[in-house]
Amino acid sequence: MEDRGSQEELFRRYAGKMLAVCIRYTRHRMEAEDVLQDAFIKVFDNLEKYEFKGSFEGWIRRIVVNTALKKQTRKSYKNELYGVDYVPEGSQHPRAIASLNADYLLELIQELPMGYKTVFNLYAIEGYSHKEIAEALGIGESTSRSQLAKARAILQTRIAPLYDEKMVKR
Amino acid sequence: MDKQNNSIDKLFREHLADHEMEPPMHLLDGILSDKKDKRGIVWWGLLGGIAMLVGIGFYFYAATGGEQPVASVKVLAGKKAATAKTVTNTVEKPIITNEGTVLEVIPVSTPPAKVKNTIVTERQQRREQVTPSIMVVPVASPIRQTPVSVAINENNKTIPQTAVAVALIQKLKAPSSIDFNPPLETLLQKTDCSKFGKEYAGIYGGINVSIDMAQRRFISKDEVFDSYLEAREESEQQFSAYSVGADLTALFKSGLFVTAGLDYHQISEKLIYQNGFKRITVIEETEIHNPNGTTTIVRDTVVKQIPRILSDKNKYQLVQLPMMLGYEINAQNFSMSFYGGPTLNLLFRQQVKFFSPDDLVVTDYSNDHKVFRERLGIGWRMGLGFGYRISGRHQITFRPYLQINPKSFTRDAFPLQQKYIITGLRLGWKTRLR
Repeated sequence: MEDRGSQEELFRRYAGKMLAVCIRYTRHRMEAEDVLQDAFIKVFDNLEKYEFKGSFEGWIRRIVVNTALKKQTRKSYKNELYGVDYVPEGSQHPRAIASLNADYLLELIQELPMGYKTVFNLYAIEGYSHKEIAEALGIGESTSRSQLAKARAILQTRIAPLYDEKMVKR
Repeated sequence: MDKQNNSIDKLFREHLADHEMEPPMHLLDGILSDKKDKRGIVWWGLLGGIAMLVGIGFYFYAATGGEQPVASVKVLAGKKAATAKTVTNTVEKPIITNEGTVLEVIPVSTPPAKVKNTIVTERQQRREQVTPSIMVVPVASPIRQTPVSVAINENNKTIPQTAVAVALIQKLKAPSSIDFNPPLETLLQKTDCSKFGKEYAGIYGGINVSIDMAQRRFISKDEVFDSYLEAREESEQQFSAYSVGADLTALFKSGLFVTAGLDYHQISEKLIYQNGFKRITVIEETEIHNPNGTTTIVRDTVVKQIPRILSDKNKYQLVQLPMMLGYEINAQNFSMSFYGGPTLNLLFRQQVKFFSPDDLVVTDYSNDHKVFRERLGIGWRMGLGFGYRISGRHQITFRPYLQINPKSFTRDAFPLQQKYIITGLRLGWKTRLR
């Protein structure tokens, strides 16, 4: 696929959604854009391998998620991925429930330690099983379960005060 | 609990599974040009450098390898005037003086019969007892219609066309003079032609090593990164810098030279940072003065916690292809030159750790092309050169230089730009190859 117009159209159509995916797996926007860039290079390089089975968006999303996971296996912050005991400090974002929008939820996910974030994203949002997560990340299934539980606990702690606030206002 | 957890999953899934942001269109150009461009720059750079070297060599060979490249018409070799030979003439345009006099240049193919009234004068040379010969070819001047002289040659040596022309013009200003009474060399010294470099023209190979100083500059993309910038500046200190290189130089008779080569630069910095605390045990002694005049020493063991300071060495490695243009003058055994030109970065590697912009945790960014550029593109170098000839072929050189790399080491997306200006003193050895 060498037609720049088509490439641009494809990028315009999917890049926004895929950037949102990347941000969930990375620490900041700059890193997310790097992942997105790498992922779309792969997409354009491998377009002929797409066999029109399943949705095209799903195919791109898998490439994006895999690129993000591969990025996590590099570098020093691999060490912070797993086995880190994270102690939540209570709600640092007292916001009205009305503001519980996607951006805020994205922010909450980004604040999670990398390991919790990755497992939560894969399980809760992408719909991977613990077995698939364990294979993708090279960890045990039990680790995946415990990371998920901890992630949920932290998110629950963060979100609970918002519900309380909502009830008081009512 | 499971139900609650599922509701958490559901909340995030509903909001984020199809969440969409503004597509970052600025990435598109980078994506589409990623592979071909980056590799292309290096290979084209290498090819360009090689082509330039070959071109320089060929040009020089063509200019000096033939029997006579200047606009001589005929050559009379000293006393062997009888064996005058016609040589290759690469310039066929007539020389026109300010006074409108036409100095004819006779091409090789011109039959000797067409040259009329040839006058040959000879003059003894003090050294080598070789007589320079001058062939004067009368040519019709459109203004004065008087014969003028055209070509000079001395002992088979090349005399630049401009030198000949100017010398002749000076001579022509003297009325009714065809003879060259002043010594030829005197005439030539009065011309604009550089007396330096002529006999030193050739191809030179050189190697050099330099102690450098790398002046780093961090530039924050946004003021929110100012504190990060300060943390980086405080934690990363200059340590050392050096470069080594090899080059080929073609020095022309005019004194101009072109140089191309390969340089390796290394910039080393020291990262100093605190990594938690360490416990040390200190034995404290206290002197207690008793009322009876005696002193008792009390020893106490105290455990203290002090910051654990660690350091790492960071390394930036660059391979550069410099392409310099310069001018050299020579006096006896000394030479001086100035030069400048672009340097193309062929390779850029890093072995570095520094604070992450997100959490100020020391992170290994070695050869991380998400943070660092793969190549630095074009830089600019200028400098002076001083040489001392220790023999006919060899000289040692000292070359202070300044190199500016306009591109940041880091990519545009990184919060800090990291630019360097390198200065150094190159100590080198230069050998004439031909």
